[in-house]
Amino acid sequence: MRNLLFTLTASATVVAFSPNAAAQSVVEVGDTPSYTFNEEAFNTMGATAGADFSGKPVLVEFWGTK
Amino acid sequence: MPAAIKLQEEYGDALQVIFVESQNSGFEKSIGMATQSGWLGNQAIWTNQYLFSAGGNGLPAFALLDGEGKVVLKGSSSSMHGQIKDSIAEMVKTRGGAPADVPSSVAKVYSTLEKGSYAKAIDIAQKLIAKPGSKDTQVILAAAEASLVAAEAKFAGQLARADWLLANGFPMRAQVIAEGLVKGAKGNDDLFGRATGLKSKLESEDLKAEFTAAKALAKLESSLYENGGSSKLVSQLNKLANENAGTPIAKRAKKLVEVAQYSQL
Repeated sequence: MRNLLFTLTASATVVAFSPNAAAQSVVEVGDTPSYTFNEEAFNTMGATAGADFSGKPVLVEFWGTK
Repeated sequence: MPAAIKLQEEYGDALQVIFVESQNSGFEKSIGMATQSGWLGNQAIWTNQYLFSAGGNGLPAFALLDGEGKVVLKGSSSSMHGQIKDSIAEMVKTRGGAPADVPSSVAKVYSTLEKGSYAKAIDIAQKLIAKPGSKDTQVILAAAEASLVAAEAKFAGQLARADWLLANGFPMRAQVIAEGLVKGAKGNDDLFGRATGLKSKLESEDLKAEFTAAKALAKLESSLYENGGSSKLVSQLNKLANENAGTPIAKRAKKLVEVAQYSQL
């Protein structure tokens, strides 16, 4: 039981302190999210933020490699 | 994934797809997988930053934003693909249109602008400002002035974009923009002078070597996206980078070396 509690607590801690989880905020339909790209982003062609796509639709696709 | 790639390839510059790897796999693994899968070579952007969350528990998930950056649809990419396609088709159809409630006489400025006819659009706007008519005069005048600002801003934006492309190792793409600007600027001395200035710069002797290197890099880049990375390709990219050391082409070649190496991981 103690091991199980430890495992659950550790898992919750990992999620809570994951850099991604901490930074994210859930958007809803009607929201206008503000976002910027870091230098590692590939193929931005000079775009540094969402505002650079003004006038065109943007499809943000969340995917995983696993 | 391939569905979003297809949308990016279908709509080109009219749509921006951003892929956000959301399982903390690291940039190397995700871009390597994308290369191996043949998903690169289009205008999609790839990042591992969690820009924001669409909520939900499963992947792939999506958020579709309109031209003003507002979320219009979100959810599961797999189960809502039909809605995504329809929504994008509708937004692209109305893209570049006049802002809501613009008088029909001023709407023509925006439709002309969308065709790349900068000089003609500015001419229409200036004529409306000079003679807004006797009906709804102030409304038409204000809308025409706003359309003039939009037209001039769009032209300046394209010039700046071409400058960025040139400074960052994409001279051929800059040339395509320059040719469009020259064509669309005919009839307006100021715009035409600025556009031909850019075109002349791109055609100058100073940039001949840059264009030659860019063409060589384009071939290697295509090979990378079509066949994935290989030791031979990495050597070729490194050789090109060394031969053009200190140039934007060399910087791009080095970046592609990284991508090629990631695809071998």
